[in-house]
Amino acid sequence: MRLGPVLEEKIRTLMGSYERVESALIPALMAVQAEYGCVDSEAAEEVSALFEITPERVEEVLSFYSLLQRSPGGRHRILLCRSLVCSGGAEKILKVLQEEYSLLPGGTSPDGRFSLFLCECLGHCEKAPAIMVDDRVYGPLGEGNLFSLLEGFK
Amino acid sequence: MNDRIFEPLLNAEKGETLEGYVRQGGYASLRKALEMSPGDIVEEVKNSNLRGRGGAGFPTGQKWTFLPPPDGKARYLVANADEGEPGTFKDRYILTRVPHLLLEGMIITAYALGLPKGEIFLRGEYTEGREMVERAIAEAADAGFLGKNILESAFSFDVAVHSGAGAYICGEETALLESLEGKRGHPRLKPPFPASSGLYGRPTLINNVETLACIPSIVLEGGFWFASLGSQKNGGTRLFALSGRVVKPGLYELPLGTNLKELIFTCGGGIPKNRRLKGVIPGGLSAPILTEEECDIPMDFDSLARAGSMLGSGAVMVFDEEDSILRILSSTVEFYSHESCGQCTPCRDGTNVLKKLMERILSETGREEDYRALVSVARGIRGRTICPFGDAVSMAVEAMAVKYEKEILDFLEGNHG
Amino acid sequence: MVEISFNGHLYSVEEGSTVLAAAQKVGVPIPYFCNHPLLKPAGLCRMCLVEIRGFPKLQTACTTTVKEGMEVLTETESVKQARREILEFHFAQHPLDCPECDQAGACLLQEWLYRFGFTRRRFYYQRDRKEKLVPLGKNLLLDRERCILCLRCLRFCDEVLGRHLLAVTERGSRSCIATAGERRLETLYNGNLAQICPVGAILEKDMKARVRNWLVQSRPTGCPLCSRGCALLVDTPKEYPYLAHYPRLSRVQADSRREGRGGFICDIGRYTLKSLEENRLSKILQRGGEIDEARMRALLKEKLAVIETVVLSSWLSLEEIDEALLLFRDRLKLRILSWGRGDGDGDALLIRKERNPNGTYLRQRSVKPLVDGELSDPGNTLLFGDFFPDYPLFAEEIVRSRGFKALITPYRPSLKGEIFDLVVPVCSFLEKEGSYMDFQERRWRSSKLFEPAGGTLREGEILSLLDGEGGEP
Repeated sequence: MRLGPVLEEKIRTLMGSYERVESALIPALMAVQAEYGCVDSEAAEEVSALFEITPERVEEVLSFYSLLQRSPGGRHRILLCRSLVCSGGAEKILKVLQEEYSLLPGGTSPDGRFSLFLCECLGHCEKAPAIMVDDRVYGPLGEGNLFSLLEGFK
Repeated sequence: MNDRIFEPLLNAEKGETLEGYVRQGGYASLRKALEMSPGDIVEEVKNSNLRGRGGAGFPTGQKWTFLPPPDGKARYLVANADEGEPGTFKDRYILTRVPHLLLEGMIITAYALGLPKGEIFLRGEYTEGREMVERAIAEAADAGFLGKNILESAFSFDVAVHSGAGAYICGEETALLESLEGKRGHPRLKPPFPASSGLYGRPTLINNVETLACIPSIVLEGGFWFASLGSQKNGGTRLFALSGRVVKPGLYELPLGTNLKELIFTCGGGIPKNRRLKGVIPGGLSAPILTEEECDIPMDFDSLARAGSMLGSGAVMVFDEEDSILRILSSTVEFYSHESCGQCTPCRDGTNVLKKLMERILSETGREEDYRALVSVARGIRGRTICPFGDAVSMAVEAMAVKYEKEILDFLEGNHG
Repeated sequence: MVEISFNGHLYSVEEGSTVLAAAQKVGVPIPYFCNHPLLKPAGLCRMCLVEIRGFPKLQTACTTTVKEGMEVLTETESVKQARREILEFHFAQHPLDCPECDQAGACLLQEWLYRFGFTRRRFYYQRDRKEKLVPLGKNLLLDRERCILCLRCLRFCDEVLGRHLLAVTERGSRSCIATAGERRLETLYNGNLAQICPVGAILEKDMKARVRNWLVQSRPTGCPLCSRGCALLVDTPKEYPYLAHYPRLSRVQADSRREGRGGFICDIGRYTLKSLEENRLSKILQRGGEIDEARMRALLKEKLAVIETVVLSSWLSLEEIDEALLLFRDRLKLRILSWGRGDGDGDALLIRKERNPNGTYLRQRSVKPLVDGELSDPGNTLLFGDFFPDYPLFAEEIVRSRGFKALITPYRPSLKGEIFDLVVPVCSFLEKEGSYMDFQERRWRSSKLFEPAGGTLREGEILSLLDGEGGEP
């Protein structure tokens, strides 16, 4: 997708807020993702043009960081922590997600509401098991409250 | 003078606002610091025996002396808020409940070492933390604690927040710098160290959030006071993030040297349903696991190092008899193979081999020789990599595999029994 | 110079060099992958780990600078074990492609395993699959399974070409070398990536499954395609019956061993030398037909007395130019001009605008170029035209001139109509030895790589022919 003038302006502002322009690259990509839910190759190429760097520079950063997505998914992104303390509970949550939402890791629910990704420690281990939906982390989650949490997301 | 630094602040009403922070005595330390000479501040930190709270536990005062004297050109202070070590959530509390404590610590540190610009590298998942810190920065700037001529002194300091994008390795200092510079988080070869060549190649000090958060109290009450709170050469209290099989998981501030059993059974309320303790990882996933017999131990850097483990990030994860060592191992191996940056062969290929071996062990075809290979491969990564990530996976996996050998071999036998 | 020791033996090594470079100079074997003389040390592959007294951990020899009194140990048990285990890690991932891999016989992974490796594998499992025939760019293929992520290719683009054209994508063991999207490498230096790759990951498409490395021999020569004269290694097949119909020029590579000669070449030099094998002239032509050597001698002897202009090719060797000037200019006092291939686009790296190997020498010998419009009619002309046959159209004067025109060349002229009265075949650049002068006035020598193709003479023979006939003016 094309960036559009608003996003372009946002990125230019980011570029100006850093001492060195290149430091704004990852925040710029996160800004694109905040707008469109992902950074596809067209957007990546436009970003590379804005920064005057080769598209390879954008590609290598885009593919390194777990929070950056290259293809669109559901309207809401679920990150399910599978690290040590959460790992036992995560198995149960995975089952619920599969049964109730037909959601598998890496996939999108048929109704287009959710995409699911497994992630590493979210830093909410005292509230294990934890998940991140869009911008916020929630926990502890179990079969009891998981459903009601997710139903709040359209 | 009480002997808890964080507790009152974390529990204070509206502690996240400037108003609430000041009501608790916030920014008094900064005022005092600006009356002191930078050299005296460094002295206090040295006397405090404060050791890095991020994981490495390096004496902070000593680390501060690695910076060259200011030369009129750019120098940076970076707060490492990437908190990715599994089990760790202490910095999250500081960032969300008392962000001004971090700011005050940074400002004092910057004053002591002549660092005019600061960056807070915050992991991308801590969105709430980002909001709180940005609000605190705005409040502090308004109040004259940031910006030009702070509190009418000659000292100026600016700080900005920069979010990571989901890579554990960016908690490593030089990988963090690479990420800040808009690149992949590939750790750099050391030497040179960030103190001489850091952000944009300039002298940079990187400290963990909790480390910086200790600075105000050290300056206000004195280094020796801080040192006296802990054990010998391990000054102060620290925030222990307790999770796993305990009745009351959460954040607990305790003096360094507190016995691990006290943390688990007194503070944490013990293990649910009185199940048997199986093992404890005492300092984040990278810290070698302690068996039940090894858990009667003071929680400080030196004692744990002597026991072959480490205090690390102070993240204490408790396991009981319901937890299978195979699941613990499997989760650990998954984590490291997923988070390896991929630069150097031993770690990149070694963690993948570990993952494959674990899959084998867990499958019907798992044999004892797979277990033996696992231990050997884990050892083969150590000491041969560019950065400590390789050593971390090596030591963590080896400890789990070797200390619970019987359980693993029984499981493998059970496959064919 | 500083004094260091390798395994207890003292050596004097160059100050400022790395331990690895010093070891290579004095002959102490240390394995490596990511290190390359063209590139900054990276310390990525960890293969060059050695013990250095005073350091608790093993150190990478490629990133450690020598210091006076340094004691390096390269054969301790700890070093040997590190090498074995790191190789074991490589082979846990690396596919068993040796039987069909074009790099076999010239592969660093094979070499180090052979010398430093292990024989029994301790673990077996299904390797990760990655793409194997990724088109990377012009004439380049990438096999991601074979790639050991030494990043030589990426670093070459960054450091030598100055452009970030390759990326490492993904993370951990899923890392791959890639371009962005559908982009392909279209530089004039693509071939160097195949050459610099230590394993069979980046390969030249035109060499895929062509010939085994041990069936060819590499011989040095220089590149005549511009005035830089880069050092080349030309692969020619050895004498084997089943290679009898194999082209005699198999592959061209950069010769990195020669001092001060860069160590990399452009694709023009790398790939167009093969074209010098085509369109060869094998018969002596006289307007419309062929004549034999005796008739040619007679004709030349007859015409020599009336030759007015001699045009020398800037592909002639230094020795041939000297001989020709001695005969035609000094003794016979004829008008001498020079010509060659037309200029092309130069770049900031290697490619010079002047696309001839000896233009500098001709200028040094004060030979003026044949330039359109300067000469109204050259009259009877003898032209040495043995430059690469992308014939610029002959100068209008030559075309229009009614005088006798003879062309001495290795290549069948592609003429609009028959301009020349006589065309004599001679050896190509690859078939004769000679000296050349590059644009910095440094001399280099070409090697005689092949015997002359049938029916050709050496320019020198022509000259001595004419010399013998010429006699007194």
